Amino acid sequence: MLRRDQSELKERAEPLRRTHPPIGAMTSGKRLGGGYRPLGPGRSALGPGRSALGPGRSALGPRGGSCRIGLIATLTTDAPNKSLDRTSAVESRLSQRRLAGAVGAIAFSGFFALWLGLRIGGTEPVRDFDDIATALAALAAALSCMRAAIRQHDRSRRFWSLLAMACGAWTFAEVVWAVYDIVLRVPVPVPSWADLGYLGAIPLAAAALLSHPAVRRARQARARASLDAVLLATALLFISWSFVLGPLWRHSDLGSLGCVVAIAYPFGDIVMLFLVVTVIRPVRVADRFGMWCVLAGIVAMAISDSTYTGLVEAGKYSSGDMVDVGWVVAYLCLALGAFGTGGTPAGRPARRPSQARQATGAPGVMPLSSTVASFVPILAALVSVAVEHALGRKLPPFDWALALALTLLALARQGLGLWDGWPGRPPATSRSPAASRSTAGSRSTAPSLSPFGKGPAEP
Amino acid sequence: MRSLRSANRASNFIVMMLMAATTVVAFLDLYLLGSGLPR
Repeated sequence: MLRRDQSELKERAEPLRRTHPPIGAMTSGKRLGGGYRPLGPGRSALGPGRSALGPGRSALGPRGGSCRIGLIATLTTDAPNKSLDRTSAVESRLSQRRLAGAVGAIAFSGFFALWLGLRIGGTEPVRDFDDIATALAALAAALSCMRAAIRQHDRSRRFWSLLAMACGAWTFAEVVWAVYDIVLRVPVPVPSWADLGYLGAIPLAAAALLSHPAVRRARQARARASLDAVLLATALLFISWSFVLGPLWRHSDLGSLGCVVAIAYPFGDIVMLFLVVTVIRPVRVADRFGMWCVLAGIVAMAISDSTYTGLVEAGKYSSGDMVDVGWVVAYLCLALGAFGTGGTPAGRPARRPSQARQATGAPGVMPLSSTVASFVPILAALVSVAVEHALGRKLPPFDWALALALTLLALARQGLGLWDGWPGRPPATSRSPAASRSTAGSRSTAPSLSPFGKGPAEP
Repeated sequence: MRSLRSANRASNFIVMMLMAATTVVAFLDLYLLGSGLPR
């Protein structure tokens, strides 16, 4: 809007520039910087208080009677510069904050891993340091998410608030764990009050991801987005079932509450991973850094949870194990994501769908990183099926059925992608006139056959 | 502008390779799953 006004002002000022050259050009007889320079507010090429169209008239018409050429020049040159300067200053501050946060998180994680790896001070100091540092990292994540929620004034506020509550539950669990370890000096029982916090955080984090504005957009997508989601969930379930959940299911006593709790961790991680990958695909450019950090945190947590479950099953886990590094990294990633998220000013009007579409980048086209993030679990699951066969292992019935479902879904999805991008057939996003107008500029650069290349349709 | 175009071409190439790999592995899995029935 501002840009349109500026171009209109430029157009109206152009005849005046031709008929009345700037003072510098008239006095020196040379064209300085293209023959046009700003005169500053309140100054006119014809002198103070005079307009090129006569007294009391201006290029803007009767309503802009007091406007002078100098003011036009100022508007056409200074205003965009100031606006650009302000925007770049905000972006620069945000980048500096992200860089500082990332350096701090990496330094602390490295220090923590080094302490645990070298066993500095012996078993007990390492265990105490581990418990305290993990609880502090979870607290940092909770406070950072709370700060991000306070700074947001749009629909992202609910996302960060729920994530802050999830981090609060994790903090509670870490504190309970530390009390068992440091104060009571007893092994943490399974299940314990700490499990209440750990498992209670999973639905809160899932609710946070479901309340993300990007999910609202994804919900309005077509059948292909749903097929993508089912395919992704099947791939994640297959990987987890093959390597963690399946062996645990077959070798455990399912009647005990401890086993149910042990299985709940990797299962909850699958749910969260699925939701994060679903959210990160149609997310706005401004929210992408935060969501990538959340994804990194959830991945680190999933790896640690699965390894922890395996170690507990084998009876080899103790506090201060290297697997604890994953949880600290996960909490710090969540804290960094919240810390590096820019705030939205209060009273800002709700974004129109067209503006939201512009903010996600080129309409209907997902960025490469999001596409790869969707592909990796699917390709990994498909490759693991082939590897299992190559190693001569026969799949149990449930695994076989899951693998078959995954393969058929992947083939169906590829076939649908090929059908949508078939020569002579209009892409799905350009079938409506509005969509065809919006995608006209980016058609040549969009991967036409990409199965995940087209995002969900905007409302 | 040229660098933008080449970046687009590179990302298209990566996506196409991923898609091709997914399709090939899916067909291979279908064959393997068909030949190796569950116990």
